[in-house]
This record gives sequence, C-alpha cells and structure tokens, in this order.
Amino acid sequence: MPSPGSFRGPVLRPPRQLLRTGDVTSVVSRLVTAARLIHQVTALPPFQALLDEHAADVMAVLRGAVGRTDAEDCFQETFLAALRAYPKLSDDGNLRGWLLTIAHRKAIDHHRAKGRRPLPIAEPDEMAGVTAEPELDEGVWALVGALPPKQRAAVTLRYACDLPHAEIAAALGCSPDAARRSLHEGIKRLRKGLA
Amino acid sequence: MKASLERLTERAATEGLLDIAYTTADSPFGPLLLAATPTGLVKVGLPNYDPEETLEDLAARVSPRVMEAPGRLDDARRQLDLYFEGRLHEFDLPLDWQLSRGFRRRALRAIDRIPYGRTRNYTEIARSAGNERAVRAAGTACGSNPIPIVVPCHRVLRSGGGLGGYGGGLPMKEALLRMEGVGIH
Repeated sequence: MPSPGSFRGPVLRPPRQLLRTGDVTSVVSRLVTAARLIHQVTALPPFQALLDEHAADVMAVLRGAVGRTDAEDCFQETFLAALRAYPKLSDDGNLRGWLLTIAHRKAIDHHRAKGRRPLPIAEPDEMAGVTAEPELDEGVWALVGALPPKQRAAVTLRYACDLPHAEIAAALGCSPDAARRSLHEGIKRLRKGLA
Repeated sequence: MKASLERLTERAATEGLLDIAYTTADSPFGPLLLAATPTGLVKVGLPNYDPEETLEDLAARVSPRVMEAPGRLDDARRQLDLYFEGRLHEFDLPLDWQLSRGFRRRALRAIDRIPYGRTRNYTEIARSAGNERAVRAAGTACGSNPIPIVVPCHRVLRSGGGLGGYGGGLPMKEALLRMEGVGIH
C-alpha cells in the first residue's frame, strides 16, 4: 500500500503537470480542428449560389409588387443591399426568405419614393412578365397587380414563390395570422374580379 | 434576367461589393476555374478539382461575396490561351497571394521567378525561401500552390530529375514541361 505522500491521483496532480507541452499542443490542435469543422458547417455559401437559386423568384415578386418597368431597379437595389449585409449574416437557415424580405422592403421604398398610394393598375400587356411560370394566367396577374400592396405581396409570395404563411409573415413583417388575412382578402378580391 | 445579373455584377464591383469574381476557362487539359479579388488572381482551379468545392472554400477563407463575372477575368483568360498556344512565356497578371503565408508564400514567390522552359528542384526552392533544409516543406508549398500554371510549380522537380508530384496529375505536369521544351528523363 503506498504511503499518503506517494499517492498521486489525477485530481491531486499539481497544475503544472496537468498540461505538459505535448498536451497543450494536442489540445490546441484539437481546438483548431473543431474550429475548422464549425467554420465549415456555418460558412455562408458563395453569393452566386443565392443568385442561381433565387434571383428569378426575387424578380417575379418585384414584378408583381412594382410592375415590370420598375422591377429592374428594385432588383438591383435588393441584391446590392443583400451583398452589403451578406458577410455578416449570422443565420443562413432561410436565405430565400431573407432575400424576399429585402425585396419586399425595396418595393415599399419604391412606392414611398414615387408617392403612389394606391398604385395605378398596371396595363395587362405590361404585366405579362409577372408570371413566374408561363402557363399562369396573365389576366389573373393583371388583377394581382391591382390589389392593395400588402394583399398583392401576400398573393405573389404565396403563389409565385410558393412561400408558406410563416415566411410570408416574415417577409411582410407581420404576424402569420395577419399574413393569412392579407392573403385571404387578396384571394377574395381576385375571385370577385374574375367572376 | 441575364442582363440584370450582368448589371448587378458591374454595380457590385463598382461599389466594392464583389470580393471574388470567377469564371471558367477552357484549357487543353479541361476547364480551369479562375478567381480574382480586386488585388489580383487568387486561385486557379485545375480540371481535376470540383469547382463548387473550390468556390465554397474561397467563400469560407476569403469572403462569401463570390460572383460569376467573366469580364473581370478576360485578361487572365487571354494570357492563359496564349500560354497554351505556346505564344506567351511570361504571365503579366496582378496576383493575390493571400491564400499562402510564411514559408509557403516565400517558396511560391521563388517558384514564380522560374523562367519559362527552365526547372528547379525542391532543394533550390527551399533555399530561395530561406531554409535550405526545409525540402519537404518546399514540396508541400508546391502542392498547396493556389495559382498553378501562372505560378509555375510544374517547373519544380526532384533533385535527381524525377518528376515529383503535381496537383493536376503527373500527365499534366509532363505535358506542360514538354510544351515548354523541357526534356523529361
């Protein structure tokens, strides 16, 4: 049986011995590896991937929101704002929703700048480009263009971009219930217009 | 949509928001990925590497503001074309060395000074980089060269004259050296 003085349990080891040089090196290298792994997992994708996947949807939303002619300016403003903010973006869980939120804000800015309230109804032939897919009925989108801004945004986000209610709410900056109401009101108005 | 995206790339560059512009360029060995920062050419991706992975790596290491912008790489593409035709012997392109540091960067700068059609061995590169005994590290520096072809790591051979290694595969190294008129034993 060892005498009490010779006993060296792990807890009683003096601090100097806890981390020898070799230990420090291995701890540091493990931390570096861990940091790299975390970095890889959370690293933002190249911005080009956002353009490839979402630029067409952003353009469709903007055409629905401000009309074909002004959509181009809003499109540029949307993506320049996105580029400015992108490197510091901490949550990349929903990049599409993030882009559409910016697009929505740019559309609102655009309306404010033009002082248009309510919006003039876009000419049907001018609205032909609103459709995200060519098979969509142009007449319907002309009516969508005539809806009040919030309803128009809700309808476009839902049917041109296939966003769920929660994402529409995020894009519009309102509650999911309010988004649902805007969508519902918009649809009701469109039904009336088509009847 | 194409015109809108081109306009966006130009405006992003003007406003300092395009950190990495990239494009692909044809070569006799397959497509090359070319990427440049505002400082200069930062990456040449050889045909046997996945361009997607390379771009993700650049996004993580340099900046996620990565956009396809062929116009920003016209000069690099033109010079590479001429090089592959044997009509250009010295690249005149601004380079961005930020992906290499310390000894590796010094070794790559030494490699950058090897003239067309000439070779050095790993020991000579180690010496030029300031540590003659770091032969293995000089080999690693060659292997990690982010700007191959333009920074001609294919001109570095083993001390005995053996081919050594090459990120693009030994057949490519051999073909580049033959094209430059270097006899391979």
